[in-house]
Amino acid sequence: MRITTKEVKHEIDGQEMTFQIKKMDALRGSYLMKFCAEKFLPVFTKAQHMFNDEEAPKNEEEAKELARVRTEQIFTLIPEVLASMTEEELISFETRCLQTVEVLKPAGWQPVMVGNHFGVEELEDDIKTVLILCYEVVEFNMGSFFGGKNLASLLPHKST
Amino acid sequence: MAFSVYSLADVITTFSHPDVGKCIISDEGGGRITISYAGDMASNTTTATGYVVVNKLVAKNGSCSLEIPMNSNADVFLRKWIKFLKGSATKRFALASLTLNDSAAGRVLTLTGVVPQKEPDEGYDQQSGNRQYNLLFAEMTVK
Repeated sequence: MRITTKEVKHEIDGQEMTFQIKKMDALRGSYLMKFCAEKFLPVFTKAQHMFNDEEAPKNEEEAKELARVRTEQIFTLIPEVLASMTEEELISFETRCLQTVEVLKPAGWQPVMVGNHFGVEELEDDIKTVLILCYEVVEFNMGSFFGGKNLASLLPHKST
Repeated sequence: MAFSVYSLADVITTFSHPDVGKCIISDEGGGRITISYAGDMASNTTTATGYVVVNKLVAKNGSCSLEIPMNSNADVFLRKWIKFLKGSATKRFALASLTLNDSAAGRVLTLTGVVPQKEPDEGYDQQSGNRQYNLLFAEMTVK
């Protein structure tokens, strides 16, 4: 069966929340691809160079440590990506990404974005989670385009 | 000539329950919102001679009626909320809040402890109408 959704777990204020990312339709997806090619590709190429020479982790502890280090390294790249966008581009990009994400609440799935507003209060002032979710959306939709393996290897703790 | 401005479109109405999510009711045009306090602010006690004691009372609770366009996002959201409340734990029952941010007047009304007084009436006609939600709130604060 085709996989069109992906579950992501992320902690907000010590509480684990489950997010579900839906695949974008091909037309909106191709806009995302154009945008990513313009803005992200140079940075991803750089990230790949950063991680290229690393050896594969030997045990679980090493893998965890590697995941931690890489996550930190990715955060150092974020300012570079952000600097290449105007405010409108960034907001429209984030909105488009978050519109494909739902969060599991006790009452059921709730869209993270309803129109141009947040559909959950927790995310409203949580820049980190918003950026991580946007990354996950790009990775899930574009992974196959930019050579899924390399992109996935940037966040080894997420790939199983 | 002196004049003042009122604009319902500038009133941002937000409904939120931590277990359900958040919904901007005013996005699709809120229909009509009516808020009324349940209790009086003062009363008089009179004696046979006409002596009056003025009682100063405190009333913060009341009711709120929301008229929501049928089948709009807000309607769907509020239905989901009511459905959730029916099966939810008692301590999660009254966690909803409603905020009206009137930017034209510079007033923010915050209703907390919001619960549905009853389920909205159902009605089907040739054309859609508004669905009326009667809510009760435990406290309203005005800033």
